[in-house]
Amino acid sequence: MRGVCVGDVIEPQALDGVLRGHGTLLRGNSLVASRCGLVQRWNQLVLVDPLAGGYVAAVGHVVVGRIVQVEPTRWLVDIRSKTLAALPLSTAGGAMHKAAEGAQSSRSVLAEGDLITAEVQAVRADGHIQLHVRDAVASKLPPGMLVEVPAALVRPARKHVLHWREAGLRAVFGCNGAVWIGQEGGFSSLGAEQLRAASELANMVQAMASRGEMLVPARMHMNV
Amino acid sequence: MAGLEQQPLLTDGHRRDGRAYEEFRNVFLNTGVISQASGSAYAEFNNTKVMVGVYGPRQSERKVGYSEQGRISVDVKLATFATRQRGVFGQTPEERELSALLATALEAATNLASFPKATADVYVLVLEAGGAELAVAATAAALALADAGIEMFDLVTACSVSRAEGALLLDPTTDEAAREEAGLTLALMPACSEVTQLVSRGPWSSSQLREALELAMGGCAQLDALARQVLKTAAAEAATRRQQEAQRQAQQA
Repeated sequence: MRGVCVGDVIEPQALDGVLRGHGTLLRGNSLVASRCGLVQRWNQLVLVDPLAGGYVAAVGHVVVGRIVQVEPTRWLVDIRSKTLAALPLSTAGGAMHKAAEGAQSSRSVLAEGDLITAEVQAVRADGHIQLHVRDAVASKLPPGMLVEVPAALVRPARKHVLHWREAGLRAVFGCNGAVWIGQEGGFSSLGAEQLRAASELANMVQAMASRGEMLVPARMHMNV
Repeated sequence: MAGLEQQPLLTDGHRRDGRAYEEFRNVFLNTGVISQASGSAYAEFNNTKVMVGVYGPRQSERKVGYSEQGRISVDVKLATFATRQRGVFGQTPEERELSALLATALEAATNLASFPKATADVYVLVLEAGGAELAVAATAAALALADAGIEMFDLVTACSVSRAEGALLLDPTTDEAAREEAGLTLALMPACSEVTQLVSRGPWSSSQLREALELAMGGCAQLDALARQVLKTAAAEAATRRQQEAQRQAQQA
């Protein structure tokens, strides 16, 4: 793998036989990098896998985000992306019909500062990100720990939730690099034993991230 | 003080700090110096020390309104202890001008269409102002933008040239710039030879200006080589890390 930085020529002759991928641009006949990163080639496609940069949302990603704003028809969620993501009231399950009718305010379901786990439903060309949850009430994460790691270390997988039954803990690995660790079910406070276990898990996640290791929940299960 | 000013800036082909006319001060560039920022850079040209942090791109505030293109907001701050005379609290007109000049130099090089509705905040802190602050800040800010993974057309490097005592001086210090007859600051995208910012001060004849611009372009190219080396080292380190990770995964499987 070759490392390039902004403005470096990747391919001097790129008019035919080369497909321009992410992080590249054409200058005259040559293909140059527009971001710092590692060059990857898939057949004709040439792209630059960036070293840095925020999370780039894609449909189907499971993310952990924080509610930053409550609007009459939607919540705005910070998922560590370039723009805030929107969680519409309409996608948020049964409790929301009541809210829509005005019987219950949407703030009583999710308020500013709450952490939620959601799935990316759509990403529009102008960068608008729409989220989806099955049940707004159940999507809210109870108090716990949030560990932030580079988003590239969590790849989309079948399993994003790690259940640690012996300790009564649950961890959600968001594709946006936010890892939540907290209690399995219920909103009661953690006991001393649980706190110790949770911080051990948080330390482990941080240590793996600092070594640049991928965080795969399915494999983590064997580690704990 | 009066005695000092009568001393010449240049004596037999050398400047007061011993440099030749077309020589840079000692240059040090580094990235990734602020862990909390999306990207950061530190530049030191002897007594000019600049720290830049880039935050975002993050969603623009509601009051700025919708825009298809991203924005770059630049805030230059001279530390109160940066200049010989102690600075004042709050933004000075000088800082505001530097911010505006820097914003132009960076906007032209950034692919603003890659972050619609969002703003990248660039905070520049001049720790010590020893001359050519705009040029050093532009070089460092472009490095920080690249470090933040923001899409750019090319790196930006900038340098200053002063004409003093009849000679063209590359990368002037505060003393030299204070006694210049004319001066200019050029910000350039060296790989595609496009100018993103040119600030000219004082009277120039066209032949002198051409000569000064050529000198500045040469200086920018020199800085570009160094800036690229800094970024490449980071990329090479990442490549090694990724290979090690792939090997680890292969062993586990």
